[in-house]
Amino acid sequence: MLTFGGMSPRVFLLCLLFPLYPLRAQQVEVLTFPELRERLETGGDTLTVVNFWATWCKPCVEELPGFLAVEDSLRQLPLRFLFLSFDFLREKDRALLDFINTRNIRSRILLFRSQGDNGWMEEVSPQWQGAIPATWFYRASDHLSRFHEGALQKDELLIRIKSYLP
Amino acid sequence: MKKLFVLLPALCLLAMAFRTGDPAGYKPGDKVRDFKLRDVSGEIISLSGLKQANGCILVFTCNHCPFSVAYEDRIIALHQAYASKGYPVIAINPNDAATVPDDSYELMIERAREKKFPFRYLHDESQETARLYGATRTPHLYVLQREGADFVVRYIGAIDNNTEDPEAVTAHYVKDAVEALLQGKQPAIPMTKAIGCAIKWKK
Repeated sequence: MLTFGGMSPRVFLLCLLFPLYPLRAQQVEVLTFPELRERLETGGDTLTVVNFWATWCKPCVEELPGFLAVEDSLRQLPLRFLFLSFDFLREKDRALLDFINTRNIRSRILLFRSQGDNGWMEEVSPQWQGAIPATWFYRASDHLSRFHEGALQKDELLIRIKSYLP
Repeated sequence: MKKLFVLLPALCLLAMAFRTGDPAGYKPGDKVRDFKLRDVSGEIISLSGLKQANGCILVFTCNHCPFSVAYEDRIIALHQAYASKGYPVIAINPNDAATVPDDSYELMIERAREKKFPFRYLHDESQETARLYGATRTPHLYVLQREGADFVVRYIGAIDNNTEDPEAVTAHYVKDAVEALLQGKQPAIPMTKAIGCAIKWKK
């Protein structure tokens, strides 16, 4: 039987694949707008808070701790947070991953891939003038959709979320 | 009573003038007010000074925003293609340098020199021009067409449909708008939206 330094072919193959596992765990998930739409539409009674931000956007980075604190304090409610970054795709493994790791963020941070399709912003909100940070509140079960362009302080975020929850 | 008739509308106008990020800025078809802004060369530039032009490609942009930086080469290319056809690029930095030190006038001069900007790069220090136009982010483009002594807005929005990858662009909004105007037509798409860095208004 063919062996690789004493190992069976199966074990050898497993050893080849092993280094890939930590790499996979390290990658930042990329999401397109249609994929975002699908996640939102299948959310049922859960209120999704979509925060549009980027590591290079100062007001975005400043409001982030407030969002993370609110997320932490309301874990028992039908609520979930998605942090969608506009960092460039080629930067995702550096800038974005570094950001997540140095701050030890465990929340759902994804890289948003919106290029090539400019109609998507109208679907989020016709009022959106294109600046970030911006936050979109969405619930599929009753088609609740609210949008805020600009930074949101922790207190205001809490008030809004509580007003949207049953 | 008579005083109220004068005072109330005046107060309303005053209040409107100070709204930030006001979507009630210019729309396609609007005639624009002229500006007098300082260029990186030190010269004061205005639209009325563009004697030869058929119009211009106005872009609100800045030194620091990664989206603006990603578009710099494409903005240079637009000027190189259309200045000789009467549509020069004019770049305007609307950001408050106190909030973003990277967007100071001195650093504008440096950036223009570094990238060898072939176009005017103006400092909207009071941010009045940005407010008037209803600019909200960088980059934010306005294609203007001259009609007699006036300049009229013909296109507002994004340069194209892919910030990150110039090779993957499938819709060249500004280029198509200018080409249409050069052929005596109106742009097929007069307005688009895109993500950019929010303009940093004075506090």
